[in-house]
Amino acid sequence: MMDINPKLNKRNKWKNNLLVAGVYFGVLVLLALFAPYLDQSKGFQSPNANGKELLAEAPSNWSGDGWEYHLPEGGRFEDRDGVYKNGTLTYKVEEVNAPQLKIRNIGYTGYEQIYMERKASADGVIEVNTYVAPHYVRTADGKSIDYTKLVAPPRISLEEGILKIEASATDASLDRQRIAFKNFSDNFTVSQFHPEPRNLNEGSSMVMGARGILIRIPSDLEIFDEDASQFSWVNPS
Amino acid sequence: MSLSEVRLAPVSLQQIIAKQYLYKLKGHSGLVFILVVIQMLSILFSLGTRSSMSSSNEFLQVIVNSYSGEIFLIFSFIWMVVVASFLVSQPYQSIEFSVVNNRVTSHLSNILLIFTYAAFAGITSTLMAIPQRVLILMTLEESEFLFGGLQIVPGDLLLGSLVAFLYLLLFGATAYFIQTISLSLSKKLGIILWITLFAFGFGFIRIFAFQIGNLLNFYFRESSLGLFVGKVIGSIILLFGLSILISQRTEVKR
Repeated sequence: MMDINPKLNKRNKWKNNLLVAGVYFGVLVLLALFAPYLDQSKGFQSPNANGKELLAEAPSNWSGDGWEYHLPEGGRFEDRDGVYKNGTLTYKVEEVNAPQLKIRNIGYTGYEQIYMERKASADGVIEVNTYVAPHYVRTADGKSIDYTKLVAPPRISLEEGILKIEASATDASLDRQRIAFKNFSDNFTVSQFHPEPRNLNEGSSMVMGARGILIRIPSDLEIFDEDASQFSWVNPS
Repeated sequence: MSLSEVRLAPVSLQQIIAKQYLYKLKGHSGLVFILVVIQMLSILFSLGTRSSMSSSNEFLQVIVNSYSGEIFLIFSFIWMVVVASFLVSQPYQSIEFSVVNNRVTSHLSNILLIFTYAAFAGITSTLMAIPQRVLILMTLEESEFLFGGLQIVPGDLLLGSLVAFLYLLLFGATAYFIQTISLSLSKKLGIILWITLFAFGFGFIRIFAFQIGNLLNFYFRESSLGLFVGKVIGSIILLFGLSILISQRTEVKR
């Protein structure tokens, strides 16, 4: 005899369906029991262990149009609070292998301010220091992140008397550095009952501070005159 | 024993409802299976962001992505609306021909079924946020940083499950009510009600100078849990009650 409802034909199908639903439910409930033991820290998580140590909480009162995100004119970058030295390279004068040192900016590196300082002594060492002004991001839920220390220094090399400064990209396809922040927010079924007082003037925003390079050369090293347009001399303090 | 001596054993209303409920639970078990499949597939959609902010220049690109488990809720809400509509539809009601039945017991067993489905879908759609978050954490790349932790608070899981359950009941009761009208009174009226629900539910209502806002905000904007529970329970009693009343009154006509 035929069943009235063909859906009920497969008598054992309901057992399988409810078994699947039961197992699914059970697994999720088990996960919920273990959930509190998963990492609930307020810090940063990333496979990039060094990178996450370089992140910090930004001051809560920063604004995206402040002068403090520029670098001071004159080359005294470290005099300003919040400026971070993100790279230092040293070369011996012997490595120049040329009567004069030439400076070349290859492509657009973002390191716009390049200053040259002649040291008081002829110590035979060329120092190349790179600096970044504060880089902050404020997320929609009000979290303020200082990622200044993550900003990559340019690629610098000294070849046949030429100090080359090139852009440093972590994402080859974009040809620029890429940094992504991720976070989780509550579902509306929870946030509906936890309305957070929020300052309406504070939306999500970002600021990318300026970048600069300070090259310190021994007192006796000659610089190729025609490269004067590539850099400025540090103001004597 | 002659036929006149045959006595039907007294069966209480609760027993009939319980039997119908179990019968339908088995008969419609495929609907729960479909929900499981939908939720497992929607984990792929959940890897898409809820909100995103990006800023870039020639040498640096910074992205902030925010994730939530709302996609599981949305799919579950849609599933509940479809399921509640199906329960009142003619083909699905044919399952009742083989059991002792009247309109009230049919409705009450359907309502019990909707409560069961809402509880299952409410809890699972909330808990799916856990594998979603673990998956996002595990697939972080070198240039990606997760901040603020996984934010899985047991209290929030309980609250989220309860509220999702209530929303599912609300959507289920609404679909059930409209489908009952469509079946008992007029299909055209049912269509008009669906359109009205979408227009007033998501649209902005303004009657002359009175700005009422949209209907869903009556529930979504309620920040007091007690009031929210009261509003939803009041609404579902009204919707299920009207559904039973309408089908009772039109029973003779049909």
